[in-house]
Amino acid sequence: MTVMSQPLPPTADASLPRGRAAPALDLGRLVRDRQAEVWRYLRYLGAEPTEADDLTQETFLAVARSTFVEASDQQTAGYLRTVARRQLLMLRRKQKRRCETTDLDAAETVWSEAMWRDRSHGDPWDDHVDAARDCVEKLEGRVRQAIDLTYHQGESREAIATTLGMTADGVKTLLRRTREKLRECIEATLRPNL
Amino acid sequence: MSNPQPTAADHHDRLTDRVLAEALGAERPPDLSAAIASRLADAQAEVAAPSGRTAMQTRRAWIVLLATAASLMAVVLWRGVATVNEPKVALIEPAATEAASSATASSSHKPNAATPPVAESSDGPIMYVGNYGDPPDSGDGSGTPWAINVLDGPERVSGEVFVPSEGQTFPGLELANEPRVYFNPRNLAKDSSGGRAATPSAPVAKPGQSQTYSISPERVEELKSLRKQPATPAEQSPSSGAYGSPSVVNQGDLKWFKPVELGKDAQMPRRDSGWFHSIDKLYWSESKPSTAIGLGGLINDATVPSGGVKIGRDFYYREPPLHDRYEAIHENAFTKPAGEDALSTFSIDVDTASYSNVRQYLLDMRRLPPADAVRVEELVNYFDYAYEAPKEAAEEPFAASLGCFACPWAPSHKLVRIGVKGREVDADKRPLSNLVFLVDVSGSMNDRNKLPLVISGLEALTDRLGENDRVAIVVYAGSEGVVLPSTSGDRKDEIRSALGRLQAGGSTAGGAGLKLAYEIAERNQIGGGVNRVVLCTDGDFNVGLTGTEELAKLVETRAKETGVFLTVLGFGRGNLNDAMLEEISGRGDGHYAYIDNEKEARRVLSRDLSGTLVTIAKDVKLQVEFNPAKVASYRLIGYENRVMAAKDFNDDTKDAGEIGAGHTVTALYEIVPVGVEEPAPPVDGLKYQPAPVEEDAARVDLIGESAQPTVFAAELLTLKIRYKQPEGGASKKLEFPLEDAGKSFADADDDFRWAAAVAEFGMLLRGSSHAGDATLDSVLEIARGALGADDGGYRAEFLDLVRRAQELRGR
Repeated sequence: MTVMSQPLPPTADASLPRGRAAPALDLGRLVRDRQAEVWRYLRYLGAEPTEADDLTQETFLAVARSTFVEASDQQTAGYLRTVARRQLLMLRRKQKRRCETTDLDAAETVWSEAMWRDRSHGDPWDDHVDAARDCVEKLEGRVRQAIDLTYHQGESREAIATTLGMTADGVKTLLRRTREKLRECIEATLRPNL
Repeated sequence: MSNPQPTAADHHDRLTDRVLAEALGAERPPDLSAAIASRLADAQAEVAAPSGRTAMQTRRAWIVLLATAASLMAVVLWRGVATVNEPKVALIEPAATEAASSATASSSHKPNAATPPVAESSDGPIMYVGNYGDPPDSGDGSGTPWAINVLDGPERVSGEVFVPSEGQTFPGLELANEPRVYFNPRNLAKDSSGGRAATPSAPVAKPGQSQTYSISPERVEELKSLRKQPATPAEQSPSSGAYGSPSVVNQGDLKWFKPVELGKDAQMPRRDSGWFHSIDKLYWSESKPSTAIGLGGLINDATVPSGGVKIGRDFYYREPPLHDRYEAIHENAFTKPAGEDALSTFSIDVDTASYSNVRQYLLDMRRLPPADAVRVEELVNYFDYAYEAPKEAAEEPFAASLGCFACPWAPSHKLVRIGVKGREVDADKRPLSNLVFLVDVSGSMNDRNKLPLVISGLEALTDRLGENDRVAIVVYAGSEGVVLPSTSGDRKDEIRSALGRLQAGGSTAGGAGLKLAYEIAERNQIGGGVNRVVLCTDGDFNVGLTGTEELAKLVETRAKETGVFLTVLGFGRGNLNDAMLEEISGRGDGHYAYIDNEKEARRVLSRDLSGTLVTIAKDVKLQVEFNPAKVASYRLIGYENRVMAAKDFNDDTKDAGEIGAGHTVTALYEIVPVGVEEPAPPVDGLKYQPAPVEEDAARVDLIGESAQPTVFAAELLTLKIRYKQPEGGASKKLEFPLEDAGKSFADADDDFRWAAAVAEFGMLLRGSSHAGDATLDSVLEIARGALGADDGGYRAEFLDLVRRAQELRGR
């Protein structure tokens, strides 16, 4: 069973020089800048889109109730992810369901490694998306068709199998291998920027 | 078998999957800013005001706890004190079964020999939770003809019913806002042998009289002990959790009932069929369609097809009383066109509420509507008519079509139709809109025909909104609040999400909500655009600003000073304040529609969105001048509460109705031509007045001083229309003369005949003294021949209404 820990927000005492008052949290800006990131993270952890909508709201409400102060970009991102993760776990417990991504620590590591860069250099997610588009352009034949049918047209694995004359398991393997290649391509594209 | 633990490669794959989904357009994160801001505002408001929802919930929890403790203490007290306020319920028994009922009421149980007995399903406790019809007025139900739960299976169940008092609660049973009847058939079976039944406190009543039963302290104790018994697995499905605790339900007894999902209107039972409901399911008994109205009220003749077990065969109950309020209508009488009486002046009315209200009475409730609920002009105006639209280049926002044919219910009379058609505005060319939905979420809205219908209607409207529209949602119950701040219409997910959060509960502080809605509309006002508050309510404002005049003044002032208009959508039955809603919609420069089903919600809020929202002319007044050389007397059909003084026509300070884009408005006059015997005057001739001049001579005098026919002598009447642009300013006047070509009714076009049929139907429902030869058969005959294209099937549905009225009147 995954132990759910209470996130500890960076506090004014810990993040500010002694004697300096903590700045008021600009929640409006935080929501504007970070809601997409939280929503994507929840989707990555396996939340359905509507669940991600609700949990993103819950995450920011929880932040509003906390004593959180912004110290650094990385710390804010980490704190929001921790709160979001906790919201998802609470939801799954309420639903008496297991979390799809059972090893949340490993999932967090993968995400934070991929998205660790300071946002002052641009949103790392956007860089990933741009790189992914370029990489997909390089795909050809059945591989490209499978990706297009999956992500452009939202076809099910079975429907794609019928179109491509494969088995559903074959499509699953094909898509997984293709994503692996695409990940390598994305990382190679982003490496000079890292 | 559990899934293997995902590896880092799985997480990488999932991350790539998410990136690809966005890169290739499969999904995008929504903008949740407004939703979060709204929820933050709510949270802050709750912190600031202890009367907020959280505080309310906490208080409710305390009330439940205290009430539970109180009920336990009450048991102890009841044992020693005989004179306590007992929860009561009124039961009505039919005369025909009086003897049997008497026996039953004293808790003897007779198996129904005509039907196979139902096997005893288990020894576990059985508790049914349900109700029939409307809840009583007061918590104790005394003095109210309260419909009773009865389960007439192998064991009659009656005499063991009670309505919990307000605040009274039972562990394991969840109480809704309304009192419910609890009874326990198994318990009664024990009574028959054990003799511990509650006995009626008075002899069994005859039809129309009520019988009061009470629950004994012992029974309360026994029910509680039963509830403590553990549930068997069979008892948990399908009603697990249905009553808060599965231990009180025995599934074996549910076979008489058919479960349905809540919210699927088409599957809903009629109000008069036996039903009970759980949190997520509704169960009702299969009913025969032969339900009829008897002396004692509706006779519920229900059977279950599979087992043949009768439910409620001997059981009658009176129709629950309705508290809908209607303004009295006094029909317009025939008027001689002498002097100023030659002018008939009235305000335009595009409301359609009366038609859908009448429809609900006839189709859903199987009742004839009260006469004052029938506003003939609203029945006629409910339908679309293919009147000529104003020319594209025309300055005027509407065109008028006049027609005169023989009157179908009085063939020697003439029927004149005035048809006005407003300019169409394409949905994509609608001006910028600033809408504030003001939704009544008070406890009375907690009905399938109310809040769920509001939400689905507003969702349909949301589908039609775009980036040029702004929407805010304000609710009012015990206190008012903003559910969604003014948000762009293209943020549909946020709007739907806000609608999805609406829940009913509390009293009705409509006045405060109305003020808040106007404030938000004014804060986000769009110059030259549509600025409108859309009020969705069952109509009773019982907290704060409550008087009709007060509310009407508020909306009238806001409409005049700020240009924010009001649309009123009425919902539900039993508490509908039709008179007030019509009044405030008119004073608020808006219109009033009644939403009785989802189709109507879509019609008003989606199909006719432009007409509902976009006003193309305001203060539209009609004045008809009749030519006394042709007209002996005339009568305006309907519009009774829209009639104005002749001098008000040219008085721009006098408010009148608005017309929306594409709206058609129809007015009908019944005319007695000169030379035809006139209907008897409503008053006797005057004894002390100068002798009347010969009628023909008087008529000539009125035509002109020279007593010679003028160039207008051939005209029957002249229609004058006065209107203002939506933004105000001085009014403009249009004139349209009409000559009578002497055509028969059969020569009339489909639309004319249709309007005549609907008006005839309205007069019959009202019991009009002017209905002449009209019958429901003739209405049906005319309407059948004038169906036309009937887009949407609304005219065909009207035929159903007429047939239902025939059925209810016994032809």
